[in-house]
Amino acid sequence: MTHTLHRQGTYEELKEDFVVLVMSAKGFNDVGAAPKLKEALKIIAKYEPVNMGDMTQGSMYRAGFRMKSLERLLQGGHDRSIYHGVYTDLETVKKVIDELKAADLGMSVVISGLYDEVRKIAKPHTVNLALGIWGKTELLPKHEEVLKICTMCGHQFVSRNLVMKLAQDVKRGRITAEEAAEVMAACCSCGIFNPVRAVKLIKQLVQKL
Amino acid sequence: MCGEILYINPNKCVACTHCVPYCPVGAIQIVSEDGRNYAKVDDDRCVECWICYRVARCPKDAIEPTPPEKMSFIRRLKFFFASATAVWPETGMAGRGTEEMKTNDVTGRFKFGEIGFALDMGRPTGVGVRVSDVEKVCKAIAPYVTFEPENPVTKLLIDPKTGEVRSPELRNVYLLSAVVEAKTSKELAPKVLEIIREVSKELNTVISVGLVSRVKPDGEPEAYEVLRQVGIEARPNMKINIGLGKPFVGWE
Repeated sequence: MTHTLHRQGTYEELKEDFVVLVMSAKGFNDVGAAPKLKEALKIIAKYEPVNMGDMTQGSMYRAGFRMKSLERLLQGGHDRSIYHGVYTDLETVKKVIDELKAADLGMSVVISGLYDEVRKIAKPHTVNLALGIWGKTELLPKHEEVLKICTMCGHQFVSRNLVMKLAQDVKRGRITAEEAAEVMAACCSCGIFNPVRAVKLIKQLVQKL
Repeated sequence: MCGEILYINPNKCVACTHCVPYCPVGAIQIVSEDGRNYAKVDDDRCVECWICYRVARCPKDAIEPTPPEKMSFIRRLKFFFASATAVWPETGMAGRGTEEMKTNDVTGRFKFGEIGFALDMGRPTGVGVRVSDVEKVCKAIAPYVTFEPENPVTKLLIDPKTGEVRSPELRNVYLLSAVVEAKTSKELAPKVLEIIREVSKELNTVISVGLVSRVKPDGEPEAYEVLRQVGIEARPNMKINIGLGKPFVGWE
């Protein structure tokens, strides 16, 4: 389940893309974990993530879920919920982590992002390194912006064809880049897609069409 | 509902094409039959992710998925390998892999001196993967690794020591993606990486390669030693467990 690992982008672009994830460990500390996980979600939400969700329930962009998404995510939370928040700057991530540390919930916390940046605010315990994309890479999209957008949903629910179609719609003035990003975010079921970064990438892609 | 698969009802579909670009693997096409046009799903290509149903939201309600409990084994396999939120009956985990390093501060699954592999086959961007390609990788690395027993791919293997899949009919099944999870010693890890690099040249898909390790007290991931030996550089972004989980008494 490496859905946040393979986000593509330059160092500067990735400085605006961090995912914080909180979860229990099955068979170790999951029984009775729900209140702790919900406490973590409240902390995640307090710092206004650009996206958030629960692997088992869906994201705040899920259709019909946007309004009162925090309440709904809390209500549907359980011992095996995996809560995420997406942030666009390290400073905010630091505030979230500091508060999670102070809360001392005992749940596992993972940050997906630039290692050299994350090391400034937290002490790494275990890592999953991304070694890039191997194999028949000619099957990948030709525009790097499409690859960068699509890899913000590691489960591959943001289709490359949809990205191109929405970019064309933006170019023709039918929708804004922000509206396009929201459609893409709705495809990402667990809530790790970064719509703010997507807006910038869509605008770059439009320039190439 | 038609049979055991996701189906677009031709009697309701008006060929508006709205759903077509949403499909991550390009399995929906507009076809002409008996003088009318409608959207049709390529059964082989369809990975049962239901994005067309869940997100595109057909204005005519023409998309009719089949609940997993009514699917054939092959369709259910596609469904679980495509879903981020469905909980695998066998593992109790949502998604296509396991917790791997995300809870390592609690579980101690990866210790110093051990290197984990998380091979996301068929990712990114809807390239997808046939089980035959997954089997190629599993067979190539099987002599040198221990496959993660709770991982869905491992459940497909007849014997994790050989990497062979349970039945020949599985080989042609096309999945959205499959995550091979395994671990080995730090000493054997360079050899395994070389094998993966070689076998990846024979695949009709892509692999997003992940390497798991503990972080040394000086802040360097132990896996960097392995990467230096094989001349591979990691990307600057990674997944970082920051050790806030309470270690399970008995391993730490």
